[in-house]
Formats: sequence, C-alpha cells, structure tokens
Amino acid sequence: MTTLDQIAGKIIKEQELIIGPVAWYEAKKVRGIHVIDQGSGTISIENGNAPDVINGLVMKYEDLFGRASREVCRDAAAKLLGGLTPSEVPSSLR
Amino acid sequence: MPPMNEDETKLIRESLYKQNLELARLYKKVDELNHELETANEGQADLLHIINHQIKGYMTKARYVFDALLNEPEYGPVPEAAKDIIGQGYNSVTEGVNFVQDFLTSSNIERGTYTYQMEPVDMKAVAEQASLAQEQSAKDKGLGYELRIGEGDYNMNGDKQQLSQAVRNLIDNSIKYTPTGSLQVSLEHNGNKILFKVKDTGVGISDELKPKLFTKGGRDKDSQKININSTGFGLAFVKGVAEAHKGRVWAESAGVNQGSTFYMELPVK
Repeated sequence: MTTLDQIAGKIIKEQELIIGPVAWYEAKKVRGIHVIDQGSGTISIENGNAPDVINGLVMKYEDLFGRASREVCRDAAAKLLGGLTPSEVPSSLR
Repeated sequence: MPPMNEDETKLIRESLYKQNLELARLYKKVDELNHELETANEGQADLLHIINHQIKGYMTKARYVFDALLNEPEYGPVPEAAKDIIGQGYNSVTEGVNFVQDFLTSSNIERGTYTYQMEPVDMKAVAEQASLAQEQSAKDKGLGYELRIGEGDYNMNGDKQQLSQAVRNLIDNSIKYTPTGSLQVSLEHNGNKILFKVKDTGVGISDELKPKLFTKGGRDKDSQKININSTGFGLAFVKGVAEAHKGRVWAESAGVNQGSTFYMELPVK
C-alpha cells in the first residue's frame, strides 16, 4: 500500500466520523478509488494518476459539504504528507 | 412550501456538516479526556495499593508488639491495669490488618493478579463457620438471625479462604445495612449449583445503586450514614470471588427500606 493509498483511506475514515457511511458511498463514486476493506479503511488507488484521484476525492466532499470538509481532509492527511516529495503532494492538500 | 433549489440544499448540507464536525470534535475530546481519566485512576489505584501495603506492614508490626507484650515472658509480667488496654490495642490493630488485607485482596482480584488456591471445599462447613461468628454480631445488634441449610452434597472445588470471606462479606453487609428486623441466611443445592442467599429486612437498594452495587467503590450516597466503615469494596470482592469460581452474584430489592436479598450461585463442577 502506497502513502497515497493510506492518505485516501485516512481521509475517508475521518469523513466517516462526521457523516457516517455516506463518506464511503460518495468515495466509491470517485474514479480510481477501489475499496479493499471498509472496516480498516484499506484503499487502493487504481486507473489513474494517484494525486489526481485524491484531488477528486477531496473535491467530491467539498462539493457536497463545503469548505469545512476540505480542512478535515487536510488535517486527516497531514501526518502522512511527510512521506511524499513536494511534487507528489496532491494540490488539494497543500 | 416551494421546493428548495440546489443552492439552498447545499447550504443546509454544509450547515449540517459543520454541526456534525463540531460533534465529532467534541466526541474526540471527550474520548481523550476519558482516556486521561482512566490513566489517572490507574495511577491512583497503584498508589493506593502501595500505601496499603506499607500500612499493612506497620500494623502487622504493631500487632506483633501488642502480642509480644501480652504473651512473651521475656518482657516480664504485664501489669493487671494495662492488660485490658493492650488487649484492646491488639484487637483494634488485628481488625485494621484484616481490613487492609481485604482491600489488597479485592484489589488483586480486580487486577487479575490474585492466585486462587483451588482445593476440595465443603460449602456447608464454610457457611456454618462464617455464620457462627456473624450470628453473634447480628444478635449484638438486636437482629433476628436464622441459618437454613437444605439437604444435599455441598462439596465443590474452590478457594476455601476466599469463599469463606465472600460468605462473611455477604452476611456482614446485610447486618450493617439492617437497622432493625432480621436476617435469613440459607444454602441450597439445586441441580449442579450451590446457592448461598442472605435475605434481610434492611434499608433496601435504590434504583440508582442497583447497577453499581457489585462494583469497586459502588456504594450509595447515604451508605456511610448507615455504615461508617463502608468502603464499597465488600460486594465487589464477593463478585470477583464468585466469578473466579465460574459463578455469579446478584441482588434483589423492592426498593429503599424494602429489604434486600443477596445471592451467590456457584457451580458444583
């Protein structure tokens, strides 16, 4: 599992704490997100550029729930961003 | 009411999200505080345990001194006038040692660090012996006391010392919380279970107390008005002992001032 896979899983789990199962329902609609295990929050990013897929996930939540949801995504990912080079960090999380 | 447009529903969605976010943050904070509290409680329990060990050491030594003064010839004869006060000192310190020992045993049982000495035990003999001492306490208080033991085999495998203490605690608890009236203590053998029961005409159990009755420190807000030595450990100890023998404890009461019945059920095999 890559760092970006872990970031996607962390974001969805954090959103789940706030909006419940809707977080997973909406995440599954994002192109490139493949849920391996919902319980543990294990995600695999497939078919596409991983940072773009994360941007798509963040935008999905922001479209639905506004600016506050983007901050939640950033907070959720913050600790894992250190494992990425600056160019790998998705623009939505900068 | 006209249907809401997309902007209005988005506004409501965002507003609900913010509220949920606030709740989630509060929940997280409460969870963290709970964790801190648990850690602090554990630390306090450890400290209490160490202090009680120390106190037990000092008291045991004091008991030895009183005992030596009374019984060891090398210290010379005790003046007649001092015998009573030294005897009172010895008894008081002995009570203190037993009290601290109960606390430590109860605490060890709760921590899972107590090692039970399992051996064949005759629960009938245990109940009779415990009853003998407690009956006097009940009578000294002016309470009626009756022990009934049904027909049957009361042999089981268990820790005799701790089972005896559990039986004593149950009777003692009823004596302390029964200002007037009587106690009926009974032992029955039903199928493959032994049921020890204490029925009293005492202060009863409030609905508030029922869920915490057998927990450590689980006593009523008025408990110490009735029993000044109430520690809230006696019944928690009984529960720990019963469960270590794969048994269970419970209590029934119609409410405050309606009397109570305490049960300890133990499997024979």
